Amino acid sequence: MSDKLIATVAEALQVSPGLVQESTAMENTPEWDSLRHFALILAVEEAFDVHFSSDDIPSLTAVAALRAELLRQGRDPGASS
Amino acid sequence: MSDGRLFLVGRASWELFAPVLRKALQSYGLNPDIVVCGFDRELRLWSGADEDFESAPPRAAVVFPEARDLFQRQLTGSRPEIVPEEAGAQAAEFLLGAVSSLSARHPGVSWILSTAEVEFPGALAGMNDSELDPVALATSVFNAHVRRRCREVAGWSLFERERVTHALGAGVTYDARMDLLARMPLSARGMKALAERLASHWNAVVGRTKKVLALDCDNTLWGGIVGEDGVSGIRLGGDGIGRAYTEFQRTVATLESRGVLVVLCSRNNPEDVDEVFAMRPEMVLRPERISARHIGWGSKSDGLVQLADTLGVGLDSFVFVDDNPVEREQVRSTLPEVAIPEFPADPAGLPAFGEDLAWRYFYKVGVTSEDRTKTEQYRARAQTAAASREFGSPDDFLRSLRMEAVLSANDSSLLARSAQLTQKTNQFNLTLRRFTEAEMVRVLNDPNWMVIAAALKDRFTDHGWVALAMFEHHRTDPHWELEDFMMSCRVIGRSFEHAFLAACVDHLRQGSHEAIRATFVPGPRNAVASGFLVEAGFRLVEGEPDGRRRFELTGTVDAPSLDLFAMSWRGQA
Repeated sequence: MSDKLIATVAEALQVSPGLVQESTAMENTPEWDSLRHFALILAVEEAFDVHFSSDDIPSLTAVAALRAELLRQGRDPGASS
Repeated sequence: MSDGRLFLVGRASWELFAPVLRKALQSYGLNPDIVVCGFDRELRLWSGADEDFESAPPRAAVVFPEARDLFQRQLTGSRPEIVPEEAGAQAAEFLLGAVSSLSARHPGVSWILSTAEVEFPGALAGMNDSELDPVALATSVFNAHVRRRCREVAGWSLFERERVTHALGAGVTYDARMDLLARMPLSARGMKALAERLASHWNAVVGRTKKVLALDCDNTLWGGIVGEDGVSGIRLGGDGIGRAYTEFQRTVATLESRGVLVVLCSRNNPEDVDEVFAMRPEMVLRPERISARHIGWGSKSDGLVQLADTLGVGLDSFVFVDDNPVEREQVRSTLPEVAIPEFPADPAGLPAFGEDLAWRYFYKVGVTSEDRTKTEQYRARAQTAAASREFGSPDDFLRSLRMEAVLSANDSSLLARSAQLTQKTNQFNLTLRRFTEAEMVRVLNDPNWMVIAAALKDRFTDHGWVALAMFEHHRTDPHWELEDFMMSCRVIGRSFEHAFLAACVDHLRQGSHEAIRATFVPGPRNAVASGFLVEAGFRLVEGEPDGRRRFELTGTVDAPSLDLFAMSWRGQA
């Protein structure tokens, strides 16, 4: 079963999807550096057709936080990719 | 497979653009390694001190000058230091001089110089005449210089970045969030469009543009089917949708006049097609401009093979345009080397389709053979001019930046910025100690501590407060401990760290000879800071198994480039 959010994050970070988990976050993932973070934000925005505010972008630094925000915006982060 | 390297040079976070460009290049079958030469590294490159570039020059380098960096500081103050025309000319001379130096040393590199773009939003705000805006005027003068030199010098080409903005609109290509948070003004769509245009440009630079445009006739060059609707029944020109076809033909005729071979490949009676050319004056494409034709009832793929044979051009140089998806698929499956764009479902999309076709397959860079002799003369002249502008050494280059530094000690007005520097500086950071604002307040109020911040500006950019040194005085075994020392990566590569530390140490000692001690604490990204203490004259005292190293300075700081900076202390004349 593939999780669309996990797959999107893995692709943006250029790591294998198996290495991305719910607990994956900037603080525990060396590939998730400050610049890659913005590439990731743009990738998630495109994949789910959402828009994150400049207030939220700096704090959406974990898979769980992204998932919560997608749900809040009425998207299905677990949709198969 | 790799196609050499491509350098992206400019003062924005082009790292975000690199993967988008990679994808666009892949659609042309190109796979260069993309190297980003951003804020700090850009200056190193211009000064000839970028070892990576110097030892293994790339196949091409793309330079994106930013009007904001070039002119904002000089021109938007209440008392501008310089007239806009001069600012534009100087900035161009600086950039073109730097590129000339590198280009003379490494003639194999193709230089793709982008125009600078008038900033959005902000510039031109509330102005009816853009030449009344100093930044817009400077940008236009700058671009005129860049444009002229690209025309003169072989191996350089102009990339008009603003055409992407014109096509999509600045409201679409700009993303304020990315600009403010990530220093990348382009939106995801803006990056994608820019990447497509740049990929097309690079494809042209490496000489892989197509040569032949093979066109179907019915519902492609005109609306309707001539065999059924008759010569007078087809839609062409006039008012209404017929004009979409004449506009498309106009683009085809323009391509032909620039050397593209135009051929027809149509299932029709040859006489019907001849009649359209003869009887319909709206045909912009004249028969004498058609290099070859295959009009009959066989398969399109057979037709294209015969046309390739007639012209003596390989099928991999062909672009085939046909409105019928079945015909496209037949050719695609038989002749995979032929490029076959999707055709617009609505004929109203034809003029834009023609524009895309021109960009994607027939984009042309540089000069024609007729221009070549003239170009050679220009080139010789340009090289002489370049040599006189060349920078003899990296120091000459840095001197030309006219850098000014301001230092400030225990300055509570810099509290937030100082704390932020400790938290955000990951590369040039000696100990990686992070301070919150509250901790910074404590330190600033402690008489044993000395916190010194430095701001740096040069003729182009005010970099703001970019460096911080924190010292604590120890009374027993009297010495100053360098608790932390950091510098923003924006200003790495200017030897500013040495000059700054030297000024700090003079300020601390006030004539005494107290030792300065320091520790280097290795982290994931601060290797760049590791050699610094030794270069500055510190002596290694001991190394720990975890990579920490203790250093001591008893003499003065080695700062060979002290004279590159005009230094002053805040609050002192």
